[in-house]
Amino acid sequence: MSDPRLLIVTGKGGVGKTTVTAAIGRATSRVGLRTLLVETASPGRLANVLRVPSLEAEPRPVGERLDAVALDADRALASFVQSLVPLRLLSNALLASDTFRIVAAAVPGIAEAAMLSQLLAWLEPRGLRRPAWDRIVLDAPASGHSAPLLSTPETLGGIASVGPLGTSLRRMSEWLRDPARTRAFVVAIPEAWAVAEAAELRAVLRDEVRVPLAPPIANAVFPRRFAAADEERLLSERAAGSVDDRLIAAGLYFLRRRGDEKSHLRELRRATGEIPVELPFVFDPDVRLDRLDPVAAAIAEVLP
Amino acid sequence: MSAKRSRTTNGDAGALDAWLDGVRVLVCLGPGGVGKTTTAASIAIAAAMAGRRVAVLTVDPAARLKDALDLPERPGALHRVPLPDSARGSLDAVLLDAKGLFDALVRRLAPSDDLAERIVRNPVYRNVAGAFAGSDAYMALEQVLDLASDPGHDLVVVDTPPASHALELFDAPQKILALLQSRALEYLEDPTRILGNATSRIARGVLSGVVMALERMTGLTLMRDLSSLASDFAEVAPRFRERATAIRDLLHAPTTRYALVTAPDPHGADDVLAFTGEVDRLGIRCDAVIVNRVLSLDVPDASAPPPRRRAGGGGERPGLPVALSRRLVECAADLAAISEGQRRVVERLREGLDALDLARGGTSPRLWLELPALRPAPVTLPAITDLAGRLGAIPTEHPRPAPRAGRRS
Repeated sequence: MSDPRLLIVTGKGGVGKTTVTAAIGRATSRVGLRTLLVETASPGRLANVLRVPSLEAEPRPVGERLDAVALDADRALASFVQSLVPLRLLSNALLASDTFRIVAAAVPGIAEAAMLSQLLAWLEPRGLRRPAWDRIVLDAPASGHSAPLLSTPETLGGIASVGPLGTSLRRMSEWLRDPARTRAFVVAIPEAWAVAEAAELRAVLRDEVRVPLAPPIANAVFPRRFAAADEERLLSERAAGSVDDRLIAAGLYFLRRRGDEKSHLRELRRATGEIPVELPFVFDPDVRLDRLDPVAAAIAEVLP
Repeated sequence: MSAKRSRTTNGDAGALDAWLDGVRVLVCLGPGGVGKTTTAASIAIAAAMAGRRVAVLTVDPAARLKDALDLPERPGALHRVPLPDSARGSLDAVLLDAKGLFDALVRRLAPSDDLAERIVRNPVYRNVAGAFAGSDAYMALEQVLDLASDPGHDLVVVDTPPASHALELFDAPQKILALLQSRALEYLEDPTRILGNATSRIARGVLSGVVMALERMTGLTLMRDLSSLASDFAEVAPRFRERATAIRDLLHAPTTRYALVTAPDPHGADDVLAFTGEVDRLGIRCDAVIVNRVLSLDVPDASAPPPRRRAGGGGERPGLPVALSRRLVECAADLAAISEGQRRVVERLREGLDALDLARGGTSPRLWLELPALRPAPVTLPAITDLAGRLGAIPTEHPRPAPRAGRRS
């Protein structure tokens, strides 16, 4: 298989990474690709969008051809230790000991490494088994924390150069840098700081972590409902008092918000040198999978 | 329920002022992306305007407060923020420099320069100080302790890393203290002791094999470096322990208060409640809740009839074309949907926090404030200063339970 299979979604906190992750899953599963959504931070958000009580450490179906799983650092570390220890009783004793936890915490990036090797196990099952999924979508931690996670193979790889951990980190590193297998989606919303941070994060991911990037994603973009000339029209109607003031205010809010957003979208394009993919704002307060179809349709155009 | 509610239009910075009376440290907690940095800055400005001598610290790794407060490049240094002439107090801002500070702290606390160098040059220390997630948080607290003991400031406002990492903030002193306990350090030299004395020799044998496997995987030098770091660190430990204890005391001091900053996003309530639950278990209560980015637009009911062309009038003013008025109704309905979603989130938040207090046996009522969603977003000093004047009380739809004495149980 030569198609990219690992899709990483990241960006500043609060830009809707989880929504974008879910929308990607909606888009890929609907065209027949078996998809696994992986939650790494903000526990509960993805489950909330998918309308399931919670996500487990093992992949569970959440829709047709759509599975989801929670990738938790502690649990990844636990299953990592369990894979080494023949007796569950002993591995549990080890995991329960404070000193072991301190040792584990002091080993730089060990939790991240365990997470990545768990991810690798889903991407590349052992032996002759075929991968269970065509696409794995990683809802990665927010900006400041996704680069450390994704560069773990480099930082820890220097120390853990031998043994099974070293091997799996090397393989993960190959995955993360291969444009035929991996794409990172940096999500922004059309606001000044989110745009600045997305541009910054893209530079780090491209130059330091060297992950292949998808076009920048502009999430939650307000719809265009008016022409520029409409503003004057609305203002004169307001002055005349012929229409409910609050309706005019709503219209003006849309008009001005759209104008403000456009300037940030231009800045996103300028700062990244690429045309951003615009995803529509979801007004429905019940954010759930089946209401994300417009978002899924918009992002489907740039999915590998 | 109608989206129409009575709103406090006057700035409610006065309520915040009263709440901050006697407070030396204000910690702003909350999930990422809610505008915590901006909110912390605007509270700091409001307090400085009202006469406090304020220091605001950001530990945000993206360093966005730097832009907002127009901070110079150099992290770790105090910078006097220019305030309007009407300000009765002062504001200093500082950007956290975790890596530089950790080295500096080790050098300051180590009994000899040789030892300090040995620690700082240990290959594991490099990784621990640079990549160990807790160290940023710990260094933030180190800096808060310094700022709080500086007589030049009477209020320290702390911006914190996003939700899940804020917990590291409270864990940090404990983690460092735990690490510094000599028994743990001894174990590093003989990891098979982990199992304690209750296990059989066979169990110990198997475990020793596991530890060896771990060593093989992580590389033998890692364990050796870790244990030499541990023994070097043992000499600095007592002074680190003093600092860590002082920091822990500061976090639980009655003059330290916590404000929960949140945005009324659809996912918001669950996240925030899970977070406050965890914080609560650590014995910390958010006495103020600031809901940021509230859509403060009075929108008509979605069920209201669409605007009609004005009848008669001789035709000089034909009114809105049907297409345009239909679009206005659409806009109003969309905004009403946003407002309704926000109202639900705030309501859930209130219920969840009340339930938390009830489980604790009842505590004093919280201060609820809201900040409006501004377009364009406030990213300049004048805009953030202006925001400080817009702190508003959250309208209450039903009476709150009567206040009870005692802030913490």
